[in-house]
Amino acid sequence: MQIPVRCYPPKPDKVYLYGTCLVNSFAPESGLDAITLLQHQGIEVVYPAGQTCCGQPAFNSGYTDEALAVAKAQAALFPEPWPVVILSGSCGGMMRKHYAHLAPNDEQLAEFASRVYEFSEFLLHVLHIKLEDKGESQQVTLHTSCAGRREMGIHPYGESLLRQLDKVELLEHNYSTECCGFGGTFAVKHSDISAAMVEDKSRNLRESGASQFVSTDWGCMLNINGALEYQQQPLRGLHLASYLRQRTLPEHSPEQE
Amino acid sequence: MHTSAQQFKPQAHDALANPVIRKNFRGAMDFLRNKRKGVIPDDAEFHALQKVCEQIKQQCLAELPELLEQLEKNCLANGIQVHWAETPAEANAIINALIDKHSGVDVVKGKSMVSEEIGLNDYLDARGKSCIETDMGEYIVQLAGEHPSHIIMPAIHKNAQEIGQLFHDKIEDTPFTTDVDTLINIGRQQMRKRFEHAHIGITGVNFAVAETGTLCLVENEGNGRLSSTAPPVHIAVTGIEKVVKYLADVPPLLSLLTRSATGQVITTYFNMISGPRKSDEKDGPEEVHLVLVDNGRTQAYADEQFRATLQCIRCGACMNHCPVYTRIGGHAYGTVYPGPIGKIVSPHMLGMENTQDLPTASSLCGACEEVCPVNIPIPTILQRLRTQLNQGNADKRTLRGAGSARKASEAMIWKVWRYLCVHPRLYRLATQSVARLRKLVPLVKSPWNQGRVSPKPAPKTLNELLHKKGKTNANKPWMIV
Amino acid sequence: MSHANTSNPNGINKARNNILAKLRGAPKPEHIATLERPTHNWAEVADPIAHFSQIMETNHANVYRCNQADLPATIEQLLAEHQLTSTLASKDVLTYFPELERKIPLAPQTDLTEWKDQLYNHTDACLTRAYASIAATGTLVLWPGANEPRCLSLVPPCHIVILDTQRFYPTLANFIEQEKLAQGLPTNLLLVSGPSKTSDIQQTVAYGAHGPEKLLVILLDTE
Repeated sequence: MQIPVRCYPPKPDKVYLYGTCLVNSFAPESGLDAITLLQHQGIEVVYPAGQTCCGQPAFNSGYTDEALAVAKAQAALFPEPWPVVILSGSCGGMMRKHYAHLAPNDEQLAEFASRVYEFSEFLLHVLHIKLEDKGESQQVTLHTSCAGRREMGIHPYGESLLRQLDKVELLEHNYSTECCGFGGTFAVKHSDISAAMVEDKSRNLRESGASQFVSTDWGCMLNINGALEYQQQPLRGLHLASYLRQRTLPEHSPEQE
Repeated sequence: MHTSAQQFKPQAHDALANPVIRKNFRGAMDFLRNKRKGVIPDDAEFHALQKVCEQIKQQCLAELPELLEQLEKNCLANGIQVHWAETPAEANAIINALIDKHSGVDVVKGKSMVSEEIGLNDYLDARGKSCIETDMGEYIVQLAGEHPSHIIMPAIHKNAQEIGQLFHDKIEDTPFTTDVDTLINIGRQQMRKRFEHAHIGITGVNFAVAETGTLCLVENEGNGRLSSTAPPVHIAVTGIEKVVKYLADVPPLLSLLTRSATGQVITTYFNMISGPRKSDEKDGPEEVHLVLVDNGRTQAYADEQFRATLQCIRCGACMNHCPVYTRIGGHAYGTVYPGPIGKIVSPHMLGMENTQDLPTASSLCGACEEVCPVNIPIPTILQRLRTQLNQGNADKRTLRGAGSARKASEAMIWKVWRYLCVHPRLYRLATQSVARLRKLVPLVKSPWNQGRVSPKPAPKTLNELLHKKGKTNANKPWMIV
Repeated sequence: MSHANTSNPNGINKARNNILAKLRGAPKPEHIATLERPTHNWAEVADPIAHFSQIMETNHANVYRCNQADLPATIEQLLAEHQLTSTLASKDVLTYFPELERKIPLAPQTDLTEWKDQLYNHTDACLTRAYASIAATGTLVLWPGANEPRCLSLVPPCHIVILDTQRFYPTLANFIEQEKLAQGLPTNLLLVSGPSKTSDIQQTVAYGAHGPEKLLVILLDTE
């Protein structure tokens, strides 16, 4: 299935931020870094406090009624016509592609989904951001989530953003298009297979020679970082929002703000 | 070695622990992926042709009953006899009766996954008939007492070393060798006499053309041609979904089939059979039979979304690109059709109660859908199958064995999850409590911990941090930060 | 309407009726895109003969080219080159090129069962004529029939085939359309795109799996 071609709006004054459940609980600094970057582009960021989860875990587990109830609750929290910037290609894919599967005739869900932009997509195609690299020379590699790649088509965007950084060398890693093995409950229900996949993924990332890997999805990173930590390897993944903030706005770290 | 879909988990576990399996499959999948890429250099061309192929199959499925009748009528007019079977048992009985009618005992078979699906070899074996597989890969797995591990390359799980040993052990006066040309020549010689003297030839069908009553066979080796040409009787067995309306439907489907399957712009042979030999012909079968098999396909057909499963043209690209199949190989699935297509077609053939672990054994990464030449939305269908597996409402259980994997505890977890997710205050309380207990997380062991440490929650959630930082809008439930 | 399976009285027609009834009972799709079956060429081929030859050779066939006057000499040359001593020609090819019978004898004109042993075990090569060719995929179209048994191009280890260079079609779709094949097909129409091969052992290509190991294509310039 080809991803539909998307028309982008002009730069808005205000956006909603959808942090995602994983960022909320496991990586709040990614949310803060994303906000800092957006604010420095002159954008006001609105964070609906009632946001919880996009519904994907239940949907992927076959609990569609539960997923739909949660999806509707989310959409209702974003009533204004502002773009919704989301910090995950996977949750973005859930909204953009699968909300229509949950409720094909639900206009509110459809309208909401039409305004959802993955973070790197938003920086590149709506803000047309120009990044000024203030960091040291570094070699990085990029892992794009499968949903980001195949449901949202964002894999070139992260690459484009990283290539704007003068002192950053973007390295390819082998089997970059292959899944890391996360897949939500798959990682628990079929942990053997999932573990074999993440073992390969983490090795391929390490063998790229990069000292840092970057991703737009915390789902994959919890998986990959967990494997790297288990293997006692120093390499870790960082959300693209945090990486870009560190490289371009090093003085604005969340702790100092 | 016989595997079963009910034993998927232990079989997958064993396969993962087997370094030879891992290496053979990884190498083979890399090879097939690269081959495909070599003949699909242009995404735009692929997507255009993919759309055409998808629409052809959708249209043919929309008219399936009419097309089957038209196929039957035109086959009969061409002298091809048509038989219908709802179940594997019926299909086997039809074929067995045909063999008996011709007092046949020596049967040669060209590669046919439907014949695997109905368990034809074992059926004939039990009735004293020898059905030899003639496709080199199928011959190898038959010799080893195994089943195919891939629908296009049946012996892909074996390397030359293993095959050399197998030939040495099983074929008289065969010295051990790993030279592939020598091994193939041994196979060729073994089967020459069989072709020369066989009573019956059995093959599958890649496309059955309704308009002309034509059976099309795609192959490289020539064993399909021999099986359908040399013996006096040719029996073709196929699923009801293989019918296409027009002869003109064949070129686009064939083009994407061979490119997707083996990375060839066309296979060595494309064989179009439109009848037994005419009276003035000097060779070719005197009788041609077509056996149309249902075996669960009508169940898939009954649901518009599951119907897309029947668009499949059996190229195997989905398994070649599947990260799960690449690691566990074909046998672990315990089904005739492994990989992504196997996960969505087997529940209809075997019942969900017997294939419970298949729909969940996917990260839904979408690699299969991306390469599917007929655009089958495999991940979406897997998700639908999962809802059927867990379906609590008896009225909504439309598939055989639906609801069989429902666990009350799991259903309860999702109910609680839903409750929390639609009650933000409770959700905040819950997530903040977990954050406070973060030090305990490493103590909770779960299957996740296989090769991974558990992720530790942050000390404070994003929501908490923003509450401190942002200004809460008095009238609206959001924070401006 | 009569059905072939009336010879199977044990409820096989029941299977037919059940299958069709189940299919007819299923919901009709709300929307099916009406598809114009494409008849255009999938790939434009600039120089069909060169393209054909290149693909054929990539697929391990040997391609020769000559005019009609040189045909006997070409045949003689390739028989020597490939050390082919026991050969048979189809009646079809010798009707077109009677001068070749001095090089390759006519295959027996009786039912194959009577000379099966000769063909299976004592024939190096057979000579037949291609009906046409498809440039895009490097494919020969064979049209076996009364004057060209199917097994001639299949059983011996070498197949020699003469292709008229006037008989090129750009694509299979184009061939099917131009030849109006939907209105009538022979009992067996074959597309052949190289010698028999297999990659079933460790993805290593080996030729001559079951069909001919060698495919010698003679492109014949007529006129």
